[in-house]
Amino acid sequence: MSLIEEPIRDSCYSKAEIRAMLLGHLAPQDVQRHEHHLSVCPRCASLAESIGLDSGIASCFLGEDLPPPVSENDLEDVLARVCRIEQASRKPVTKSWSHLDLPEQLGPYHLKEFLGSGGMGVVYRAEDTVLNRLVAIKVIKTGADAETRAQLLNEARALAAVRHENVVTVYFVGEQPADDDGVATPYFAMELLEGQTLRDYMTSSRPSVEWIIQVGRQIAAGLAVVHDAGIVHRDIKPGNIWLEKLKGETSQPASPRSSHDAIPQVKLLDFGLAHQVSGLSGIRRAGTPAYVAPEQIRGADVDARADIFSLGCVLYELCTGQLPYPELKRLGARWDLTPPPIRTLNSDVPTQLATLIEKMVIVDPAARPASARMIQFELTNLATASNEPPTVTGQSDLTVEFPASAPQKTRLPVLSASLLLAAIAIAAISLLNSNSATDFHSDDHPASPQQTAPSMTVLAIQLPPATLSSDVLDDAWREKVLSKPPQLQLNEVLQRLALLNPKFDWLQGSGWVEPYGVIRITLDADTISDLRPVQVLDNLRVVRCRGSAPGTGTLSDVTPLSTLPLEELHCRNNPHLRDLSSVPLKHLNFLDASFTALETLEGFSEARLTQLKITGTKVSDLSPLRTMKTLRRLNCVGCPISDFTPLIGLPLRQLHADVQADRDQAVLRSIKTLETINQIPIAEFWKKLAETGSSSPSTELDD
Amino acid sequence: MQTTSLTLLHRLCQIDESDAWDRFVRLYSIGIYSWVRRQGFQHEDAADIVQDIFVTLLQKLPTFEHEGPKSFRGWLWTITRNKCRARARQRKLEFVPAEVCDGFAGKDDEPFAEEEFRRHLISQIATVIKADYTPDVWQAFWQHAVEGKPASAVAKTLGINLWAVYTAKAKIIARLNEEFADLVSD
Repeated sequence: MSLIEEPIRDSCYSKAEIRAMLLGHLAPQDVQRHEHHLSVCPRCASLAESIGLDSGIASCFLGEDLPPPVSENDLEDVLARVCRIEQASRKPVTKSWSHLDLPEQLGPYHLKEFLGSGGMGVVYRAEDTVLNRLVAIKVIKTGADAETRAQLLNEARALAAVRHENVVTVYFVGEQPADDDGVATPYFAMELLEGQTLRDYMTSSRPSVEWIIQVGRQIAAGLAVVHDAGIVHRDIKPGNIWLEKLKGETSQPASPRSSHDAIPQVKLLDFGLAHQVSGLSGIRRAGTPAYVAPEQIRGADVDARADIFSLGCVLYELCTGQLPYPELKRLGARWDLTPPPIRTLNSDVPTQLATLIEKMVIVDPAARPASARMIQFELTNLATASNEPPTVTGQSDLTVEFPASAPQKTRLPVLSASLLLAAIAIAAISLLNSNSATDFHSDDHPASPQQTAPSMTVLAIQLPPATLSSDVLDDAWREKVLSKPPQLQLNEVLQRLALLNPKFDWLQGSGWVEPYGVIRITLDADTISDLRPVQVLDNLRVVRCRGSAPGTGTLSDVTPLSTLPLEELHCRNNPHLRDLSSVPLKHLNFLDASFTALETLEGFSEARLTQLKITGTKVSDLSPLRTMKTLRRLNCVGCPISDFTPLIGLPLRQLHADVQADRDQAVLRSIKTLETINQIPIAEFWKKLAETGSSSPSTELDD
Repeated sequence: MQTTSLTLLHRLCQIDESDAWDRFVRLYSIGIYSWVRRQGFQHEDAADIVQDIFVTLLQKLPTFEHEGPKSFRGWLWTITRNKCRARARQRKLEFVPAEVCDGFAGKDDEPFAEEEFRRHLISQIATVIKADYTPDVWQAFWQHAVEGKPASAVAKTLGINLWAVYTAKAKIIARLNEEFADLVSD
């Protein structure tokens, strides 16, 4: 639509003109005149009045003829599920960009390894060729407009002037001069950190009250310093709070407990990068609820108190396992609700701490504590208090126990995508000693040529041991993996799997991480046939490597799992998987081998399985199960089984099978523990069976 | 040919539009979920269906050819209906109430169902954009354009002038027509 020209006549306007003036499309100096005209001219006022919504739309808005809104709990669940798939399946946007058009050298920095991307930039591990040290380089995306770039650089420069133990150190802020296409590349260099983000920590650990106070104090101290420098962070959230690995701390602590109690060094990351990213971006970027202050969501100017609100949300979540304003309410901007008092959710939190946090998350900025410095002091006092020996009546153990419903929220499975996001944060994790600047071989990097040719043995022999990587179980690799924190072990293994299984996208893999190691891994058997890297994860309890449908899986060899303490193995839909004899049985209680080429259960009689699924296999003889006095559930639909007597005497509760009335009824009726057959309550099942004749009321083949 | 690059859908294709993406996720996940529930599915099934639909969306959206505002809605409607049917068929084998399956068996009331689907989606728009406005602006729009109260009365209630009420209304309506064209235009 072309701009409306100012009509020559001074009196009245057309409807289109009125719409244009209301939308501010006409010259600003005329606004007052228009405003005045509308207020005195009934004809034009009625035109303005008549601009409206289609009545159907208005009626939808009012919820007419629509069911009452569904419960917020249900909605939260739906949203969380969508976010999870989004996280897992959406590839990092700049992945392709990251390797494009970047010089290997930016100023004095030699780019070594792509670490991640997100927000406003892409992060590399780099070598400072002048000072001979490793740094993290964040390159601002060229997509940002000039004004934004300038603003980011200004903030980075201001930040560079801040030196504090709780703020990531910015070494250098610069711009690579424009090349032929005229686009300059702004970047900055920062210290390279080891450790993990608070977000990752929270997925696997429950902090003690003392830990919360100490970490909170450090965050507040860092914020106080940057606030003094005139900078507002704007995006304080667990993903931007880095917990640096303490010197001398092993990555595999002897007991999970000790890692909880160790107080890490906190570093604040990603300053001033939240400008363009509105407060609602939480869902998209990390799948976590927003921690952003209400005034910031509204787009108002924000000051230090917005950061205080966000810090309050983080501490509230650490204490209770939930956010003060659950996501949906926040996104719907329902700020009228008061968060549940912290001590109703966790009575172990001292009153003084609870009160402080509750004040920080008050909607009205004026009612919050005035400065981060004040919070730092309060937390320091609390830390001293909680360090005093317990009194006779006092509690000696301040470990936070969440209420029964909370742990689910605090112990989410760690998706590899979220780990990537951790890497997106400025800090980078380096295994290498910072002085071994020559030892750079990014042997986990897909682009590394040594990796893509695993058969180059001859060449490999000529290379120094550090680069010899043709053998995936190379001891150096194993050592390297095991020296990392568990979250990163998972990533290493997924990346190595991707190398060996070119169709596998490592971002699609996921796992569950405990402080002592990776205990669960989920892979897609449609693209994975070589499982070897998995055997390095010697705490694995659960392996899922399923095909997406019968016939699609490519897994045929499970021997790499033979040394793992497996409790569950899910390997259905792998039509070439015949031999399960190497599966370790000692701890195994669940096996899903449906739609595999399995032919016999021989060898499983020692196992203590509670669930066994062999639907769609050629297994015909159940007698090896006779001794399995633990079996409660058996799925064997479609198997050529003619005799169910081996099941007599087992504590079987659920059976999925092709049952024939005349042949099997007597046998199965003698198993008194049976509750359902083919998901139908047992009494009903026999009734239906009698009605439909001899063939069993079937369940779907693929349970 | 679509010349504006500002529709929600177009902005989704520009991956950096994270706001637009958030609105998309909330609007469609909640809108679809509420419609699916209305069809008689229980929470678990409905949530599964929504998750399934998003898996498909995420795979196909980048290559989706946008042909006019209605096509996306139609495409989404097809995906949703098919996923519901598949789930109902699957459930039928497990002896769930027959009416749930029947709801997806015939095609007679299809146009009506599609319109209802659209209404569920539209009803979510307000919740996803409300937070972008100050309470006064939002109330002016709501009372005047949605509830149909005269602008003068609304101005009086809110203690703002007539011009502010008209501008609020015009701006939000313009945004609806632009960003949510695939839902609000017939």
